[in-house]
Amino acid sequence: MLQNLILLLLHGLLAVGVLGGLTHQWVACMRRGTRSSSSFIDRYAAVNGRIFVDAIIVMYMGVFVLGAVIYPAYRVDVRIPLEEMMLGWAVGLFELKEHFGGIGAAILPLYRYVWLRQEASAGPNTAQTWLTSLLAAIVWFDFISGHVINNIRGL
Amino acid sequence: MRLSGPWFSIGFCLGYAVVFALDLPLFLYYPVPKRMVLSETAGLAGPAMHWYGLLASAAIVGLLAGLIGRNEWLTPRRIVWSIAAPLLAMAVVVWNLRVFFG
Repeated sequence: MLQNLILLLLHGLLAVGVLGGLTHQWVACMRRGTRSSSSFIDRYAAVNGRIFVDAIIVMYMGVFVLGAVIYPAYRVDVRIPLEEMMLGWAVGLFELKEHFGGIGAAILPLYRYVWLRQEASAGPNTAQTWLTSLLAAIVWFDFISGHVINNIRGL
Repeated sequence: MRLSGPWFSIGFCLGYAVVFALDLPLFLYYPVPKRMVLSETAGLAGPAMHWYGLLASAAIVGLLAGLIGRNEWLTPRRIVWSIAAPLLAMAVVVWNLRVFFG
């Protein structure tokens, strides 16, 4: 019980790191070409997105593995009570979270390729923008849905 | 033998769409007795978990795609289109899980 709680906390804390890194990279992607100025947003966006890639992959896989380890406890201790409470939408929300999380983990090699292996083009790289947006959307969705479900009934 | 990461991603996502829609997990995990089995087993207590098995099934498709595919085949335009693979997998998941939200 305590072990699962600690793993869940680590899962959540590491997820904050992924969320922050990906959001920063996404903002840099969307505001590519912005010159650094004294504005907070411009300075926030004026970073090289490539430096985030490996850290995001390592943290994402950490979150993914921790999630996979504590998943059986959710299936027995959380999902069954949610079903008894007739909260089908909460069960569905977690189902979406787990499947999107798996798809997100699977696109990490493609994500790494478009950021680090593909030749840097002069203009905005569409593939980088789309993949980062998709990954950021998955991470934000998973983070919020995990938070909602944990608020209803945690481990 | 070289494994192409991008092709693994594409193959995994397309494979996930299929194995999820057809419910073809490579194995099932029963969390109460902590047993992994190849198919639904009546004698085991508690629910069966499909997710690990679905990931494993899709990973096999991804590995095959990664072994066959070559990075040189991925032109910038094709890479942009490859994003359709995870979007398709997510759409299949959403469609199949709509029953929870009805």
